[in-house]
Amino acid sequence: MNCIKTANEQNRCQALCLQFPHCICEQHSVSSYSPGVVQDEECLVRLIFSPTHFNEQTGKLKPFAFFDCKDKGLSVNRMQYTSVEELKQTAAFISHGRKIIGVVVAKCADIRAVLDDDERAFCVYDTATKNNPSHADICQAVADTCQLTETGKGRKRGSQMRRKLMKLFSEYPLSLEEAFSKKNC
Amino acid sequence: MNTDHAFLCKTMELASSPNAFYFEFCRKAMPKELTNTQEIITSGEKFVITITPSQAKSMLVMLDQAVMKYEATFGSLKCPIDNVDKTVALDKLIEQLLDYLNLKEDWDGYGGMAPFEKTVNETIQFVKTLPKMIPLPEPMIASSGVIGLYWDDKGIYAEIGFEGDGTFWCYAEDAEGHEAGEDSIPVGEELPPDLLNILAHLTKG
Repeated sequence: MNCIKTANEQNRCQALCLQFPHCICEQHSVSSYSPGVVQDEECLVRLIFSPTHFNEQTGKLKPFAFFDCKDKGLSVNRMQYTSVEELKQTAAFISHGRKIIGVVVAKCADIRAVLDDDERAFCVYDTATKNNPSHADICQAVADTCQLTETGKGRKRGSQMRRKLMKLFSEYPLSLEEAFSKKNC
Repeated sequence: MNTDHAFLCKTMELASSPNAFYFEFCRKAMPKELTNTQEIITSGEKFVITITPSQAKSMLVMLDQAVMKYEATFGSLKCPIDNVDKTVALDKLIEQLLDYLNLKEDWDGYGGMAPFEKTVNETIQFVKTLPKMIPLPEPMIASSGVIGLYWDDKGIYAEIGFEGDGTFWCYAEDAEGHEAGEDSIPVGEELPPDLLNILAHLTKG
């Protein structure tokens, strides 16, 4: 079983779902830069940029801010292994002209508890990189992520699952300082 | 052509073609002074005329005369504000969708891709044919180049997705948790009735 290799593929969520279903690779670290597998009690922060993730008129998130979990993985950072300063640097590095709005936060256990019928809907992997050791990915593990052979199949179900995921994160973005000042997520 | 039911809805510069002006008439007729001189494109119950700036001055004079003549006989010729606002909003939405084509490679720092032109065109085709009673959606884009449209208001949530394969998918839920949607609908076909029913609540109260 080579979770590390599969977790490094471009569309890692699809690859992991097809080759290692039921979140098996959560049991192993998938990166040599990682501080260890992601624990249930950890808080995960998602950087939010405008205009791609954020509706300036409503002040709320756009649903496709969570779409990456379908294919390449939804990038988050593990709060206990990063800091406000580090995330500011990461945000500046990946902003590419977009405005950083803040972060939304969710607890790993809540994400892992989402079910699609009796199956886990999302897995959380410790996909750390050399420059971003607190990096993790949330991967959808059901619906349109895992049904590549039939075009279009499971897309409605995928939307339904990602809607559930979105509801686990705060509805409105917080500043980095606000997010880190809270004890819980 | 009956000239008695012309209904001037909008006069504006075209966002997609800055050197042209745009006049739109609701209902099924327009002042005959305009019908012989300009290109007319019919779109549902609307007539759209596009003219160049050099034509604009004489066109405006003609329009004024036509409107005065109409009003002298039939009273005030005013557009419903909703129609004007919605047409402007539709132009803005289309402009936002076209802007997605300008996204650079790696636009999100994680290998983000711009959408295919086909994906943008299919999304635009969809928004242009949305039933008039439904408010316009907000656009969104995923790192993979998938384009989405969504509504999130009054306890109603709905999203439509386009991957550029000639189809779209849809999902909606209302405040009571009722859900609707389809995995794959050919672009050009209507939204399913149960999803339209959910969206119809957006127009109430």
